[in-house]
Amino acid sequence: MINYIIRRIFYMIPTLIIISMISFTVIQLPPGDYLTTKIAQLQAQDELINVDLIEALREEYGLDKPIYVQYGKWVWNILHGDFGYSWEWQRPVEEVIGERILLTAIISFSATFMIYLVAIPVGIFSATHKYSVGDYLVTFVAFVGLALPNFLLALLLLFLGYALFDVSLSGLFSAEFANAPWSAAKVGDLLKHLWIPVIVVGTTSTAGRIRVMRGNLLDELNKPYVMAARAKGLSEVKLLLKYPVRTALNPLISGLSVLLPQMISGATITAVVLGLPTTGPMLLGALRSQDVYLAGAFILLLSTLTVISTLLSDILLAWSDPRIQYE
Amino acid sequence: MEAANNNLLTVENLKKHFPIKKGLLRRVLGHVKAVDDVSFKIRRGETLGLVGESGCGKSTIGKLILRALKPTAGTIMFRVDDEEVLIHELSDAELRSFRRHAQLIFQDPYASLNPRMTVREIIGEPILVNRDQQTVDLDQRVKELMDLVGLDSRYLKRYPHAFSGGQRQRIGVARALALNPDLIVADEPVSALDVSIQAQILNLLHDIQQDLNLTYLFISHDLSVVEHISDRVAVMYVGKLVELADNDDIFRRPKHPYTEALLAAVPQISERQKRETYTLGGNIADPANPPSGCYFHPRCRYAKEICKTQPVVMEEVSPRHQVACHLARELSLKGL
Amino acid sequence: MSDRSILLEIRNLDVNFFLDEGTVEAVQDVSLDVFQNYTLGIVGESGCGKSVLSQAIMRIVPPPGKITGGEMVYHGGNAHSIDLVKLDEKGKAIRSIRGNEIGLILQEPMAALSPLYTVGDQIQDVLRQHSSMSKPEAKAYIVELLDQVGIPKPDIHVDQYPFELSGGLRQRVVIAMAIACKPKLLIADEPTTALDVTIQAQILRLFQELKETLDISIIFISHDLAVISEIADEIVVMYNGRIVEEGPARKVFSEPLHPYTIGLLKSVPKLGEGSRERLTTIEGTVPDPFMKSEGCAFYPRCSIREEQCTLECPALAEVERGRKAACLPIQSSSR
Repeated sequence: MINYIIRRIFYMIPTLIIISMISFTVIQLPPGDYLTTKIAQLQAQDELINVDLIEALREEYGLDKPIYVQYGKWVWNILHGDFGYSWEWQRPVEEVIGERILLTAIISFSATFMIYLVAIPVGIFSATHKYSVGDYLVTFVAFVGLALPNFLLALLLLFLGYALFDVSLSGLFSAEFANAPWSAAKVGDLLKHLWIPVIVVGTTSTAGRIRVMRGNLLDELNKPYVMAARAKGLSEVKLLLKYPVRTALNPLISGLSVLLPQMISGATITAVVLGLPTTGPMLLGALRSQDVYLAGAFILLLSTLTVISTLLSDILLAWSDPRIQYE
Repeated sequence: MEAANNNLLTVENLKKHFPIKKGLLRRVLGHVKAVDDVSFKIRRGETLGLVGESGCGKSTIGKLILRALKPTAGTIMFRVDDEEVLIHELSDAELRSFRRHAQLIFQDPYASLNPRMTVREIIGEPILVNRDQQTVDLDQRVKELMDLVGLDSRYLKRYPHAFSGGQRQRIGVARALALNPDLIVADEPVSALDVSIQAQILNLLHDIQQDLNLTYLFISHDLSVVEHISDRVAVMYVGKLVELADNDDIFRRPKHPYTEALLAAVPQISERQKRETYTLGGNIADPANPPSGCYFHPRCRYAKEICKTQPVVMEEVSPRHQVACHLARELSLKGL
Repeated sequence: MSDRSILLEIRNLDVNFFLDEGTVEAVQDVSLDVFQNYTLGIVGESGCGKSVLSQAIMRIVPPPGKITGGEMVYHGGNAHSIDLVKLDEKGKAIRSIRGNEIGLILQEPMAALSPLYTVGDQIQDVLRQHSSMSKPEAKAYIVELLDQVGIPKPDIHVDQYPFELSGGLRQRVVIAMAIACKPKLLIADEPTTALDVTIQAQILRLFQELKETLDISIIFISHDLAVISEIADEIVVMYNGRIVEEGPARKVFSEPLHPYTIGLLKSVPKLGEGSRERLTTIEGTVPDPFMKSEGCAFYPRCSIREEQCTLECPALAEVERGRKAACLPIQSSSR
């Protein structure tokens, strides 16, 4: 097992290096840089330009140097905890994204938790009650969930919240907490708001995973080892959970690696609709305004997250299916 | 004495080693010697039975002869119209035109037929692929073949799922016959079939051999079937031939202890009291890490010191009877 | 012979599979007795109902299959007898019999074991279900058990996964699992079919030993006449869901009665015959499971068929002392 993990970590390093190179290059591809754009803007408005400051920044980040030097500097700084400077926000990148990353992570993890908490038991029920009324109902709801775009669901929930309970459910915090420092009350407020984005972000995946769980389990239920387990005299629930369900879980475990990054980057429209202070809208803005270091940091974090969650799900899978370690 | 050119197929020192890769850098740590230094000949019109237990390399030999796999070393010589074709050296293009001379019948009639093709397409495919052969009427030829293997030619447009297991194997046989091959490699052709159907297919193989002067390499783990169909029999153990002789010699006068043990292990329908048999212990050796000396020595009840240290080679101990055993001349073994 | 006590009495058992395409009568009107400490061999080709019969005894016929009639009286329990057909399929009563009183061995040892748990873990299930053994007690017993079924280094193999073992060892594990609770009846469904001949011989020998040491009854199911002839005391031949012949093993193979049995025996190449002649075959194929006929299902393939065979489905009846056949021409000639 240790060997397996070491090997997997070893594979991670070149992947991350290549990703960072590609993302840095792609961000730099459009002509000019943020400063030239900014100067042009300011000049157009006839404002005074603090030439010294701009020159200092240009010097510091090597904007006048060739791209590989900029990349080298960027990576070197990151390794020392400095993600660069966000031109747009006029603050260091790590300050800008710190809280957003945390909130995004909270939403993503809660959603993932909800997806599996709902999808696994419902999938098991659906498979063990094949072609029953319950199964048809689950199937119908799952297909609706799959077909419904997230932002539509978000709007729907917002409308319902407003129409039925007369509360505004957008954002993650009530107005009085939005800019307040963290406190127990603020956490409570967060929890009050959290469920809507979690439901919105998680519905499609939950629906998909119910189908996956049902399909896998149906395949497993006909295998001889299930009959063999039944022939031992085990109760239906016990044998179901110990044998076919565990085998059927494997594809869901490997699906975990796709889920995390997908929810961080994919929920942008939802975040806009719900006015969530998460990373999606900010990444979009950074890419638009060529805010190099902010966008670069985002992309790097996203890809790191992808690679790490792949690793995690692979380790989980190897733990759950002993055959994998022996390959 | 048979003329030398009566040999349709001559296999010499054939080897197929598969590398074992492991670790971070996928280094080659060793080789699985699936086929190791195997030599034999098959005369035109005869059936050579190749028996052995799972993993002994018998199917690999079939694949090497048809060049579905490339040999690691050794020669495979095939005689076509008084010309010798060196199968192991054929280029891809040459291979394509050679393929009509040697065909394969698979074990699993369910898996080896494309479910989305009609019988006509399945049997006709080899003819279409080798278009240089003048086939005036494809349907006519396919119908002929179907008649030959005992399928109702009205079912030309049906799909494989509409046929029973035995009928599917007949389709597989018809496909193999489509190009008038000289050699047919039959890899466990009846193992997946029911007893009563098995007999029908064995009879079919027997009949078409007579009618078309076919040569068979018949690969099977089932000794009763091999005894029934073969003129000569080769016994394989862990990648090597251990005994090769005429049918009668193998079954009545075995000279290798493994052959003797195999014969003793075959269950028999007999009126006698339950046979006093001895059961071969242990498991088949690992071809990636075979024992020293004779590969069979850890399971051999006759093994002596020499068997543990000295490798064995095939030797002719009596006319047309080759054995790879240090003790072949001393032992008197029990046949059927 | 007469002092043998009956362990399981099956009477007029019917098992049907209700499919969209129609109903398949997988087991029809099957009656047989299983005596204590003897081996009943059930032989037949694929689809003849032999596996379904074994699943019916365990009450684990997979849906859409259902037992639609008959009874299976089990006399193994303490003092009282139970009709297995009447039990609730998921209930406690049948579960206390499964794996405990009756053990089942399936054909493919790899498929019958889950790849995700160690050998010991999977055997432990059945022990902990039916006894009050603690985990360490169970483990010690399992090591003993593995040793008993001839697994070398049982203390190591007990913690290994099925895929780490060879085919022969896996089948021994499955056997160990089936005998773990010392059942009175062992049902083995094609237990050697997936194995090599030398390994098959080892497993057959193991069955003989178990029968003697454990005082156990065995129902041994196989398509292989030779294997059945080596192991069985009494033989039942099935065709198309019905028993067509029953009798002592040696008699059935030396003087078969039913034309199907005769045909089967003739169509297998027998070792030692050495002939390269054509084999005698049973013409035609097994009937379509959805087609139902009034008369004998074997009629289209039969060599001694008569007019009356198309009119009436023959019941299994005694033809000679201790020998039964379901064939009208034979029954009428013996009278």
